[in-house]
Order: sequence, then structure tokens, then C-alpha cells
Amino acid sequence: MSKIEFLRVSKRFEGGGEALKDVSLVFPEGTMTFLTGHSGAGKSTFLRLLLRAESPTRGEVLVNDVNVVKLPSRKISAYRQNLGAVFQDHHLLTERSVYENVALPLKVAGMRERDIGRRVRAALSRVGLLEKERFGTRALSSGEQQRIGIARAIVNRPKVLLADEPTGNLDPGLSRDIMTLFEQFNQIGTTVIVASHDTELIGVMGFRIIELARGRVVRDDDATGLKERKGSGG
Amino acid sequence: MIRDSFRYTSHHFGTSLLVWLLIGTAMSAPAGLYLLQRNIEVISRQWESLNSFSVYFNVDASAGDVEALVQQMSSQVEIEAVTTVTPEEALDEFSSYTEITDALTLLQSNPLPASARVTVDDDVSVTRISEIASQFERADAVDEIVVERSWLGRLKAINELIARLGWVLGILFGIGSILITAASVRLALEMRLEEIKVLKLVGATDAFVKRPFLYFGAIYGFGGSLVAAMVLSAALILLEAPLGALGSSYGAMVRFQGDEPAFYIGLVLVGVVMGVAGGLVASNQRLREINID
Repeated sequence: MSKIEFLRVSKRFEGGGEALKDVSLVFPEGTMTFLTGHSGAGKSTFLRLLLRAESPTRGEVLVNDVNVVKLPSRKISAYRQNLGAVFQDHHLLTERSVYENVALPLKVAGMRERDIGRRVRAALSRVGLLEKERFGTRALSSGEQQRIGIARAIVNRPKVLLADEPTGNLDPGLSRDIMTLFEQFNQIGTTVIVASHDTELIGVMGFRIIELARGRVVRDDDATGLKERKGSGG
Repeated sequence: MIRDSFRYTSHHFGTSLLVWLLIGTAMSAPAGLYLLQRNIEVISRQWESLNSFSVYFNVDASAGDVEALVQQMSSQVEIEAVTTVTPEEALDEFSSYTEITDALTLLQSNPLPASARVTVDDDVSVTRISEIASQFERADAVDEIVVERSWLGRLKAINELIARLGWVLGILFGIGSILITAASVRLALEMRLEEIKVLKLVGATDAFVKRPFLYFGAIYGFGGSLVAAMVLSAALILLEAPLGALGSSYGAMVRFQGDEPAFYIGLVLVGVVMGVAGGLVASNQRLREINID
């Protein structure tokens, strides 16, 4: 389980505008949160800062009281191994099979081949793609590719799960199933942060919703929408 | 992971072949010089072991004088054998090698002197041979004594030069091979840039990301060294007969050095090590530049 804190975080891109402006947020461990807002609001930047794929211009990003901004480069890989990330543009290896893509975080973590097979099939089963494990990723639809990305994100049972528009290419029924899957992970203690502009879907999920606009937090319905999963069972 | 590297090299076989040929050619030159230097060393050692010197008598020395000196030489403990060539035998031999027999018949007397080939024991040092030779140099019947070592000295100097040239070329071509491998690995790395970024995003360490590229380097180095081995084998096959004939004409039994497995195993190991070094150079340099931050 992991507690996440953003303390007065700003991010300005070279030659561009300020993607995040003085954002301070706390995500208690074991919670599920939706980040919403229009395109360019700063949702993806927020997640990339957490993934340490970007560094903030100002402020601190704390995960379990460790400032990830100041992590030495040799420790970043170990930090990322505890995260699961679903990317908007999938980031799949097109030359590799579905199985190989999902197995990647486990191979990186040095897991034995026998255990990798078991875990990969379990993850593929959860996203409904077990029968396609030998397929090349190019042969799959965009929605299926998205589900491969989700399987890869959950395969190493991460302490923090980050998802950037995970239902962007999925039909409403499948979108709901994927959100339920994230909810199940949250129920076993994973801190989940999902960036989505599907306000209808996230509205019915009943979790905390943070809305960003032009890099600023314009809404945080922490008081009304947060479901504490720990112990309560939702 | 090594399977992926083999898959990549076979998918890009044209490029891989080019790299193997380049590395093979670069490795052949210093390895060839090394073999040449070793062979010259062996041959010169064989020639050195021909412990002998030649005694040329005065043209007017009588057969009795020659015989007396030969007796004196033979009585020396360190001298193993003395083979005499009379002026008549020398003339016959000279005639058989030249086409001026008619001219020789016009001469009133035989211009060639008697000579003797003196062979000393195998364990006699070079210095001692010179000392023995100088004992007889003062005899009235002796015109000249030749201890045939000066050209051997020159051969050794040439050999030393070849050895040093081999080292210089070895270092230059070694660096060249590493850079060729590095450039090829860099190409492979560029083609897998997206994959590297994904690997880093899911928490791969730099060592994990580098590993397949070190395998690439090893495969390139291995293939290159095999090409070098083939080039050298072919060169040895082509050169063995004429060089063998040359060596035996000087009394040396030439058995070529370079067909032993140890040499080729060493060559392949050097190739693989240089390949891995090339892979390291490329991946260290490029991974520093790749920034997903």
C-alpha cells in the first residue's frame, strides 16, 4: 500500500505552457481516485510525474514519504517496478506476442519463467484475452491492445496503479468491466489513480474525483465521493 | 533474451554479414602478422640449430694441407663432422648449376678452392661456434671462414619489426573492430528505441536494457572472428607450399604454425570480447542520451 502526496507541484515544458500549476493533493493509501478534465488539462502530466517519466519544475512528489523527484537514477527502476501503468497510447512492443508484452514487468523484476507463465495467464484471463496469448499485438484491435496494456499493468500486482484513459478505446460494457477490475485491485489495497474524461462512467463509480483545468485543481469531491475501501468493502 | 538477439541478426542478415566481413577483415591483418611472426621465429630457430660454418681454403693450398687441417678440425671434441669439397667437386657442382661449361674449359686451371662444411655439436652456443671458427682462421691454408649468421640476425630484426607492426595494427584494427561493432549495435539500438523506452517505463534497470545489445556485440564479434579464421586458413593453405619449398631450400623443415585449435579459439575469444566491448560502448553512450523524463 502506498500514500501519495503532491506538494505545490508545477510543471512547465520547454517552449510550452505550464501543464501543472501549484498542485497540492494527497492520496491516502489504498484509495481509488479519478482525475478528469478536458484534453490538455494536465492529467497525463500528473501521472507521468508519478511514474517519474517527467520531473516537476517545482514542488515535491512523495510516495510513502519518499520524494521521488530526488530519487537517484539507480533507484528509479526499482521504484517503477512497484507501479503499474496503463498508457493512453498503449506502449506495446509490436514485434512481441501478447504473452511477451504482459510478461515484461515480471521479466524485468527477475521472476522465474514458471511463475511468469502462471501470472501472465491470470492477468490475461482477467482482461478476457487468455485465448490470444500467442497473437502478435499488431493483429489485435485498439481495444484489445488497451486490455493488453492493462494486463501488463496489473501482472506484477503493483502497490500503485496508474491509468491514463484506460477505457478510451473500449465499448461501454468493456469500460465498465475494466473499471470494476481496477476497483477489485483497490479492494486488495492498491492505490489506484485513473485519468479519464468519461465523466458519465466515473460518476457512477462513486470514487473521489479530481478535476483539472489548465493545470490547476478546480474540483476535488473528496468529501462527497470518496469511498474508503479499507475495511468497508465499498 | 539471447534468442531475441539471434532473431534480430538473422532478420537483418545483410547488415550482419557486412559487419562480420568488416570485423573479419580488420582482425585478419594483425592475426595474419602474428602468424607470420611466429612462423619466422620457428624457422629462424631451426636455422639457428644448424650449427655449422664453412671453411674456404686458398686456391693454392695443397691437398695435403687441406687434409691436415681437416684432421685437426675433426680431432676437436665439439666438432661433429667435417665434409670436404675438393676443387674438382666444386667445379663439377658449379658446372651443373650454370651454362658456362664451355667457358670453364678454356681456363688453364681450376679457379675454385677446396672447402669444408664443419658441423659442430647441437649444444654448442653461437659464441662458441665463432670461437672455434676463429681458431682455424689463422691457418695458412685457410682463405676465409664464414659463420652464416649475419643474415639470420637481419631476419630476427625483421621478425621483431613484424611483431611490433602486428601489435600496432592489432591495437588499431582492434579499436576499429570495436567501433564497427559499436556503430552496428547503435543501429540496432535505434531500431529498438521504443522498446527501450517501454522497458524503462516498466522498471528495467540499465543493465537489463543493455544485455541484448551486449549479446548483439558478442554475435558480431563471434561472426567476425569466424570470418578472420576462414581468411587466415585460406591464406595458410595458399602460402604453405611455396614457403615450405623456400624454407627447405635453406635446410629448414617448415611446419606451419597457425593450424592449431588454440590459435583459433583465442581468435574467437578476442573477437567476442571486442564485440562485447563494442556493445558496451554503444549502449552506454546511447542509454545516457535516452531520456524518458
